[in-house]
Amino acid sequence: MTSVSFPALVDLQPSGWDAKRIAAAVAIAEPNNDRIAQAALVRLDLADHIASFGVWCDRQSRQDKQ
Amino acid sequence: MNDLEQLDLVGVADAIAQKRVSSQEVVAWSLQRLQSTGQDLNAVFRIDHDSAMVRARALDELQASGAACGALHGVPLAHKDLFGVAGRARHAGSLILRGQIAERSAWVIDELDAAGQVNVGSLHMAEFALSPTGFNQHYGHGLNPWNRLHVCGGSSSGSGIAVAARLVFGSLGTDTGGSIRHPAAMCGITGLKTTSRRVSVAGVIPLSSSLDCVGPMAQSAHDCARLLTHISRPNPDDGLCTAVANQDYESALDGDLRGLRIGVPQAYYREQLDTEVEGALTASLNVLQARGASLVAVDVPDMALINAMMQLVMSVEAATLHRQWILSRPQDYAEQVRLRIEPGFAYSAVRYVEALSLRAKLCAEYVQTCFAGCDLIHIPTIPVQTPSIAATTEGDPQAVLQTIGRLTHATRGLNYLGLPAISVPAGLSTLGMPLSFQLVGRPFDEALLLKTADAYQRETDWHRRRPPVQ
Repeated sequence: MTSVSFPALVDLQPSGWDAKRIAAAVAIAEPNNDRIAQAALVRLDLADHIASFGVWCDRQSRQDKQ
Repeated sequence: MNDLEQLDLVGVADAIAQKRVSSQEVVAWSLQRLQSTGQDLNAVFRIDHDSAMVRARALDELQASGAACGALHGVPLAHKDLFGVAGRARHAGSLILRGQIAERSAWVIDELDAAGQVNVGSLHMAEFALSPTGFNQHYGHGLNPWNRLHVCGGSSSGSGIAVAARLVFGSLGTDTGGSIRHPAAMCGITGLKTTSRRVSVAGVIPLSSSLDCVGPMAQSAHDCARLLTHISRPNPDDGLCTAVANQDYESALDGDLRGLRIGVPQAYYREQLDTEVEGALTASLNVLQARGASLVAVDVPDMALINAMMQLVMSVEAATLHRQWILSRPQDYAEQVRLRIEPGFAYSAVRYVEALSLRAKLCAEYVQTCFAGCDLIHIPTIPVQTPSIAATTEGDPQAVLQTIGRLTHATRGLNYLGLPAISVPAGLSTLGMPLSFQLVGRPFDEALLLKTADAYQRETDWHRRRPPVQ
């Protein structure tokens, strides 16, 4: 399944950036966007959230010490 | 005492504690070296001569009075120009922040002050910490003390140069994609990227708050252990800092690796390895085995996905931080630096939240895959030999970025995963440039990494080799 692109955080064209510069940024971002979108579709569920990483590391550390 | 160049951080701290040398003598020696060799190698942004000598005198007087002294009492250190020192200029290698004065000191600077350091100045770094090579268009590139035509590694470039060239006895760097480990590897010193959130980043100019780590750079793992012990106390005022207690990392250094299982991944990390790098990796594994460790083949999960996550998080957070400046003062950024920030503007908010939300899950998968049958893993720090400055600065910018990207092959994913990793000197190439290996541990397992690196360094002297500089 191909992901649908979301609008980027900043529209670069009104900020005066030329097409070549925008294309260079997009060329790096696009494959990563696709990879992450696919991973999110497959792996992300309602229990996953931004802060869960720190909690997991702390919990893992306690388990490792036992 | 006239053999200060022979001493490492622990050695000079012991010499001061035993009154074989005064802090004033050591600090004066360090200041002189920073002024001469340090300037020559472009390792230094600022030398705090007067305040350092005043501090050294005060510490000598304190010691003479019989007061208790800290573990770094009187030892001259200098740090990357990302760390605030109250009342001192700090520009992070940029034109944007030139002339700014730090209002307060970074948490880790205060911690090292409490342990007795003498902070002698601030060190060269890549512009806003955005280069693995030591590239700085505005202030000149850092020069590798082993060969000035080669990159010194970055972004903590001055830290790598200053420790390798014996200008100071230790330094703090930061690592967002390898910025401690690259200069450590390329300059032939030991550098520890700590677990994400292990060391408070309060008062440190961020590049990417989710990925940034503070860590020690010094000659030996033992030196790094001492520094880490004194910078890793949880900071209750820093929401990004863990509450997991730190420890005395020196106490774990016993040289005994019996029972240790070292994972050796073949996929990804050993793809397209330079033959001399590969030779150094094999030789280092032999040494670790001789100390009692056993080797285990391990698998590696999808690193392309993990690297994509890292690239997104780093560039989005950097783009957020730099947005106003990059729109209003684009000419004040080096092109190479702008090219690394600008992809951040091309990602959506949804992708960013997804990347951070997947972090715990992907880290758990990595640990379950790589660490299933072992205690730590052994990989290269950089899979290629240290490139020349010309190879990383001249020609098509996109091609240069690809060359530079190769340097971070084995480092950048670990910042997304948040895991601790240490770069250890492991040889010299036929060109006379340092070679290294990297050990990676589970979250907050810095003690095991330091113990293993220290055991290796008890058998080898690569970390004692000095570059051919005066």
